[in-house]
Formats: sequence, structure tokens, C-alpha cells
Amino acid sequence: MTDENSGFSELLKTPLEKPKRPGDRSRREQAPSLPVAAVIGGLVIGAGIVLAGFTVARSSEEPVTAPTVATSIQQTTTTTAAPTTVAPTSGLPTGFVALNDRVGVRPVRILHRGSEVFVSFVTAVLTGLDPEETSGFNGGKWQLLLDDETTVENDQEFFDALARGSFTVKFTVPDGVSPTGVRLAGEALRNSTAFQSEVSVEGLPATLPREEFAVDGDVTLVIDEMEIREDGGLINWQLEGNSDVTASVQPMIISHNSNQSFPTVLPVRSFSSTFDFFSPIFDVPPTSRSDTLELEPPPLADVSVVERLEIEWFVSWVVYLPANVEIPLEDVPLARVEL
Amino acid sequence: MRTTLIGIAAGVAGAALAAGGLALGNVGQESPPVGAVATTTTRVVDVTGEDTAQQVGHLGSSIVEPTAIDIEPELVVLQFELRDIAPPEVGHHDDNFFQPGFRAVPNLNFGVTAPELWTLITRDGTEYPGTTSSIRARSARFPVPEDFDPDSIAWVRIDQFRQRIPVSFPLDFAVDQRQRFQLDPDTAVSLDSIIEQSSGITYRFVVEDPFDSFSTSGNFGMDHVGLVGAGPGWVTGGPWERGIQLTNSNTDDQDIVSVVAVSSNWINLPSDALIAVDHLLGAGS
Repeated sequence: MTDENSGFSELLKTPLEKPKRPGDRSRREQAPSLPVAAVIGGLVIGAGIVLAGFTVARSSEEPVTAPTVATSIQQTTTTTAAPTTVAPTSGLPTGFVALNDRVGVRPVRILHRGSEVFVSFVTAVLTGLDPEETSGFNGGKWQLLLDDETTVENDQEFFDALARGSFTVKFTVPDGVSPTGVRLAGEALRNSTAFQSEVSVEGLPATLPREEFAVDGDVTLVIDEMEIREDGGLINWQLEGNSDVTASVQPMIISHNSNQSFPTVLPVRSFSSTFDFFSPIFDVPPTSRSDTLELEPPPLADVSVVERLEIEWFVSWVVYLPANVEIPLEDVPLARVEL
Repeated sequence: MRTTLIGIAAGVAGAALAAGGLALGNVGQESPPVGAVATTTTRVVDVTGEDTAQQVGHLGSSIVEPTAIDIEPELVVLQFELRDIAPPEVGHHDDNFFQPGFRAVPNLNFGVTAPELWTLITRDGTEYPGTTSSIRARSARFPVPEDFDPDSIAWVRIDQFRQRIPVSFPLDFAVDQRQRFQLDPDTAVSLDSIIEQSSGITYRFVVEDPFDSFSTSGNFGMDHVGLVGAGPGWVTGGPWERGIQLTNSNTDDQDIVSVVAVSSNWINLPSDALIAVDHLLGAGS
């Protein structure tokens, strides 16, 4: 660069450019000004990038298994929290503890209400995972670690779609102890499926025969007793097999009638709710080993017209995968309510 | 000068070869999104915020990202956005009644995290407190003195935020007593009266849920606590002037009335999230 071009050079400088040191110019002038070297250098760098680009592109052809949201067990079965094969790509925000390779939690509040302890957590996906595409935490078996070095198992867990990103675990503790930590001892794998059955009847009342459905592995759903009367009815069900599995059973009963009327849905009382005005979305239905469901009176003027009952059994069940994650509760805000 | 031009030409040729190499390697494939890791996710979220030099703050299950600073007379207004970093919640929709079961609930765009108390910090360390007005607001307002220098703004700190927390309480009310159950430090439920109907019994409950302008959604002033009947026979429910009433079709005398208080309250949580905002100066509307 000649001196007459120095003004133009100054205009091209950015404010971030480092000022030249006194010896810079002389060193550059001493370097060999070989155009051939520049050409070779450029071509070598370009060729290197060609090779690197090809390698990178080819390496990305390796199959990458993403977290699966649903796994088909049978035609109508869905499974949440399916196993993942992607290792965590990075960490979590400060204070979070990873529960698995997808999700971490942080305890944010302890509510100590009489003998009940409610530990509330917020959740986050691991860096690199899209929250919308990641199967979340679906509950588990928890232990509360107490300051007398004993533990208690959790009674309940609370989820609510209105409160995405948080959940609460409830424990019942003896007097005079305080929690020091929690441990996740099993991670829930929640599944759902549906079965269909059909039976011919000659009006109501009707007592339906015992039915069995294979749910999962060695677990069988048994419908012990099902009675439909003009004033209501009941259904008794229980699980047989693996004693660790619990389930929720929700039947939909459709009556096909001889008088050519439309099929009629016979209502089943839900597990508890009558008032969902303030919380329009149910949380996770409770599961158990057995239950009795009550039926409302059929909305039929003449129950003698019932000639066929079609029943769809919606079954959700929970199994637990082994886990061992300990989360300290130090410095977690505590609210206390004396009863 | 000639040397420089030749070098530039060679570099351009090299770059062209590089582009060719990348294109060759990518034949038949879609390019990964810029900055994405090798997963099938379509949007990469940095939950730690470390890659953006503390220009975002972590808050509960969300990330707070300031987007603009507006300077008004004796007032600084910080606009921000909230991004969920939580996965979908387990549960099921009512609108999927005909196929109930466990499934992930999609993001319903109900806010679950809300910053409430802030502090604006200048380069010399002077602090000005500020607030957000509600769970739906996406701005924080900081009153400042008349001679405030906007160019001195450096950081904001979030001192307190709200997080929506689900919890339920089974409650057994002895009918012959007017029991009151404290749920948490702020809310309580008591049995007020019993009304016998021809087809059932209506139980009226008082819900003590102090009005909170920050988190209310105008739902009769009772946003945080609902009641459901426990056990058989519950048929209807609805609000009355002091709480919630539930009707059970069982007309027999009951000693105990069992209900469940369902709460999804916005609890206060402390925070020390410190976020750099000086890069927003001059970019506000």
C-alpha cells in the first residue's frame, strides 16, 4: 500500500481494529510477496474445507434416535415417557437435578401442613432438546429423606396441565422430624389401551359375564361383576398378576336398542369430579389394583328395548422403571401451616 | 496490491470449492438448522442461557428474555418475553373424552411463570425497584428521577417471581360442625351451610382466597382453589357468592362430607436472576 492510499486505508478501518504497533509495517514489508504462495494457500485451504464439508455431511447420515413420545404396544395403546437413546447434550439451569436423559427438576417449595409434607418442583428439559418435542416426567416412586435418617414413601403426586412445568409430591411424616432431601426411586411409565366387548341382552336389568383382558405382560384386567339396572348399576374390576402395576379403568357403554332409536351412551360416574369449572382439565386419574364404578340410571324411557351392549374399556396403567436420584432440600423455601 | 488481489481471488476459488464440497456431501439430505445439535428437534433451546452472555435469565420453568427498553419521563419500561423450558405435562384433555388415557398435554399457552419484583441497576450500582403488573404483563416499569441518564442502564435483577404450582387437599367435613381447613398460608375452605333439596343435598363451602390483582384472571375472584366431591353421588357444582356449592344426589343424612380442594396457585418464589440489558439501549421503540 502506497502512502498516497493511506487516507483510503484509514476510512476502511473499523473502530474495533487494533492500532498498529510500530514494528508491524516493517515486518510485513520483509515478508516475501509471492503471488504463487497466495494461490497455493487459498487452494489448499479450499480443498481442506471441501474434505471437511464432505466428511461432516456424510457423518450426519448416521441415524440419530430422538426421544419417542408414543410407542405402540398394540393398536390402541399409547405410552408416554418412552425410553430414549440420546445422551444428554448439555446441562440444566443452576439448581436443577437431572431425573433422566431428558428432564431435570428443581425443588422450589416445601409446604409442611400438619403431618403432610408437599414438595413442589419445577421442570426443564436438558439443553439441546425442544420442550415441545420432549416427553416429560410422568411421576414416580418418591422417598422423603428425614433428619432422623429414616425415609417415608410418597402418598400422591399432583400434575395439572394448567401448571405446566411444575408438579407436587405429597408425603405423610411423623411428628418432630424435618425433611432433608427426596429420592426418586422409580420412574413411572404410563400406558393406555382400549378393549372392546359386546353382549346381547333382553332388556334391563342385565348381568354381564366375567371378562378378562391381557393388559401388559403378566397383568390381566378382570371384570368381576357388571350389573346394569334401571336405577343405575355397578362394575367391579381388579388386576391380576404383577402386584407393582396399578391402573385406571374407564368404560364407555353403548346401548343398541330394538326400537330403532339411536344408540344410547349409558353414563358412568367419574371417579370423583363434579366441579371442574375452575380446573377444566383433569390431572392424572388415580390408579389402583381394583375399583368399583357406579353407573347412572340409563337415559331410556323404556329399558326393555335394550338388546345389545357394546363396551369400550379404556385402561391406563402404570409401571415403574428403576431410578435412584437424590435431591437435597436445603435452602428450599418452607411454608408451614399448623392444623 | 497485485499480490493482495491474487490472494483474494485464490481465496474466493477456495471458498467456491468448499461450497462445492459441502453440497456434494449433502446430496439427498436436508441441511441441519444453524446451531442445532444432531437430533431431530427443530428448535434448539439453551436452558442455561450461557451462550447469550447473561442476556436472558432463568426463572422457574421459563427463561426471561428482555427485548426492548422504552424511556419515558421519569419512567423506564422494560419489555420482555417468557419462553417455556418445561416439557409437556402429563394428563389428558376433556375434549378427548371419548378416548381417555395418559398422554402429553400440549402447550396450552397458559402462563406458568411470571416475574413480579425487579430492580434496575445502573453502571454505578444505583438500584431502582420496579414491578410487573400481572401474570399476563410482559413489561416491567421502573420509576426513575427526572434527571435519570438512560445511558447508565446496565442490568436488571428479578427479585421475586410467581410459579403456578398444582396441589390438592382431601377434606372431610363433619356435618354437625362448621369446620375450617387451612390449605396453605393464604387459602382456607369451610363448610358454611347445608340445603336439602328434593333430589339431593347441596353443601355450600366458603373459599377464603384473598384477592390478588397480580394473579387473578377474573374468574369470580376464585382463581386458585376449586372443589370436587369425593366418592359417589356428586352430581352438580357451581359458584355461589362466597365460594363453591356442590350437590350430592344422596338424600340420606351424612356424618361426613368428603371433598377435594384442587389448587393451582401462583406462589411467590425468590430469585436473584441478573440480566444484562445495556445492549437494548437505543433499540427500544
